Amino acid sequence: MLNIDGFIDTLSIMGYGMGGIFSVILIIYLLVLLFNKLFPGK
Amino acid sequence: MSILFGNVFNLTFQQVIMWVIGSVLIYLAIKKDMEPTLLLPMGFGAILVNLPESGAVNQVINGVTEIGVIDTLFNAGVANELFPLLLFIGIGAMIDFGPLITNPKMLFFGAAAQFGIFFTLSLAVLLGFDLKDAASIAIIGAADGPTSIFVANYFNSKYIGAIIVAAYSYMALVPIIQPPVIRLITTKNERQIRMDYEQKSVSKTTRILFPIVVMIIAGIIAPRSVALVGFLMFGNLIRECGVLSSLSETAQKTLANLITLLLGITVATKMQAEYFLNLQTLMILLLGLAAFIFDTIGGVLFAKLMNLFVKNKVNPMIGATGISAFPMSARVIHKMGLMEDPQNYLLMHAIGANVSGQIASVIAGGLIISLIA
Repeated sequence: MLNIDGFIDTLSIMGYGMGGIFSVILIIYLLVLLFNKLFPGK
Repeated sequence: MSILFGNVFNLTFQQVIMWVIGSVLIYLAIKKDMEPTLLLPMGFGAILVNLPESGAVNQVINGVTEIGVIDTLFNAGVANELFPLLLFIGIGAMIDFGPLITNPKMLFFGAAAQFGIFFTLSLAVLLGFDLKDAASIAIIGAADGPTSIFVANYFNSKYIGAIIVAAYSYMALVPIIQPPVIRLITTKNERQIRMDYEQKSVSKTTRILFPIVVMIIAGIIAPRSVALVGFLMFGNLIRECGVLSSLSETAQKTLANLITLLLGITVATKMQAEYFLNLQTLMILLLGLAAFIFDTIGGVLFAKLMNLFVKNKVNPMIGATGISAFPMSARVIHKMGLMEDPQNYLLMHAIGANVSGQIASVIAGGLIISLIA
């Protein structure tokens, strides 16, 4: 028996989860750009 | 004679099947070199805990519970999440984030290639698993053993044995799983896209700031799992600070080896026949495979999407290295690139995305815990 209602409920978790990961990664990305600008390697 | 051999009659058919499974794991570890550090202890442990009335695990004999050493180790090191976290210090000390810091665009592939986790979560719920078990199963897609153990244990999943077997087996099978999936969703022209690599150095200040900042950001967004990313980044800081080289070496070798040695045989307690041999285990193995496949698809499709907007095109195969299986995935993609075009060297880009996958998979584990717990 497929749990279709449960499946639909989890779609929001998918949205929040992927959105959350991309948000964290975007912040890290911007900070890495900033660090590379402020403290360039030799 | 019955005193010596009476226990033979306590042997069940299911336990014999577990011996066969344990033997297969040992065979794969030794003969095929598939994640031997984990699969060999798990294989041995699977046989050990499935001996009739095995004293290695807790047994109730004549109404008295006799404590088994493997269950004791499980409670001391896995049930409280200690072993996977300590292992993360060693892993953090092993990782060089340099290729990622010099090419931070690769970070996004790590994020995209976690899609399989969330897709599998939905699929597992659709197939009837409750939400917490579904989350524990989905995290197989993190392609990261300690994260799988941490999350499955956090949710107290009764399927932890099958989840760990699936996670480590599929990590070893990355060279078999990823190439056909990538070929299916990319054209030959896309696979031949060349990517220039400019060797850049990273300042020591950036190398030191990186683990601290990643820990703070991930910890603020997913505080319940900050230990995961925190221990990983702690290990990396020890490596990069430049003043703790002996600690870094100890974390990379002695600590990681010691924990790995105990981890495999300890989780084997969940491979007792009564927990392991059921239809759910088979479903978990299939769902784990789905997680790896959809991780790969997520990463590749994101790279194709990115190519619609950027001037310097990305070889979409790089997207597949966003999974955490390090460094297998990067090597696989590098080899695939060379097969398509012998002058196409993708290794450094692939390493960058692969390292990003390590960070993103831990963040994904944290978010799963935060969203569901």
